[in-house]
Amino acid sequence: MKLPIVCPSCDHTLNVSRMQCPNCNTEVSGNYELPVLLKMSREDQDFILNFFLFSGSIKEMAKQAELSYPTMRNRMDDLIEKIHQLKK
Amino acid sequence: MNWKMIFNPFVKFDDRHLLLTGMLFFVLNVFGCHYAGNVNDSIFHYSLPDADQGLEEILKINSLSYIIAIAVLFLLGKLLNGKTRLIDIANTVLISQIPLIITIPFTGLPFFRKATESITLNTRHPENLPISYVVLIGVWGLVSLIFLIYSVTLFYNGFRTATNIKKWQHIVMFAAVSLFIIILSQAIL
Repeated sequence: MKLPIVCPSCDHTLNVSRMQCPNCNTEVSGNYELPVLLKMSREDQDFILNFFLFSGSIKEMAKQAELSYPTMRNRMDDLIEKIHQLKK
Repeated sequence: MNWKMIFNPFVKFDDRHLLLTGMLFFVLNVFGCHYAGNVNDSIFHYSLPDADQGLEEILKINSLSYIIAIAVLFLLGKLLNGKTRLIDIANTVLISQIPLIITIPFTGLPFFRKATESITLNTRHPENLPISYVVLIGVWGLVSLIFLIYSVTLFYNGFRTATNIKKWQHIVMFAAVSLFIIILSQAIL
């Protein structure tokens, strides 16, 4: 199931208000902000995970995705910019 | 291969393959220019040399025009994005000229030369011009324009991919510098 990160009504980033233990059903309520990584789209999260799995090699990632190196590097730069915006 | 790849091959193809393709067409361009009696004195521009020039002279002028373009664009690229690589800028220049390189040898064909000569000689008496020549030159002008637009599209997309520029100010700067390169190159060569 896809985790919703944006409010369907006003597009604001959602917070976590309830968590539940799948083992004993204990519930924790509050108002927790999502970590930066989870505030990103699924596609961006996958990109970051792939970057980690390819030992930080953009060249290898580009080869795997059948894209050129500058295209992959540009995507990485755009993501870095996005993270800076989210951290503000 | 889809339309996006045709207009922006820099997104998909490996930089070394692009460089090899660009270099191959660069060499072909020297022979194409020799056959058609032209020199590539700046990117996007071919001119008629003062006298018959040998392959060596054409190679020198063509190389210098490409080197000037690559050097200036690389400096601009570095200024706009520190991560810009020389190979991506070289590919931008080399690949973007391919559509024009393909068209140049056609201008050296005997019937084409005859048509252009006839038009040059009859500029004051257009009534003497054979209609077939006028049609030929007209159609060729249109075809050349399409290839030129394609070439400029490749040039812009190549630079955009190499530098990741998005702001309109950067795009305007790129256009101005490109114009400067063309003028500078033609003035020097």
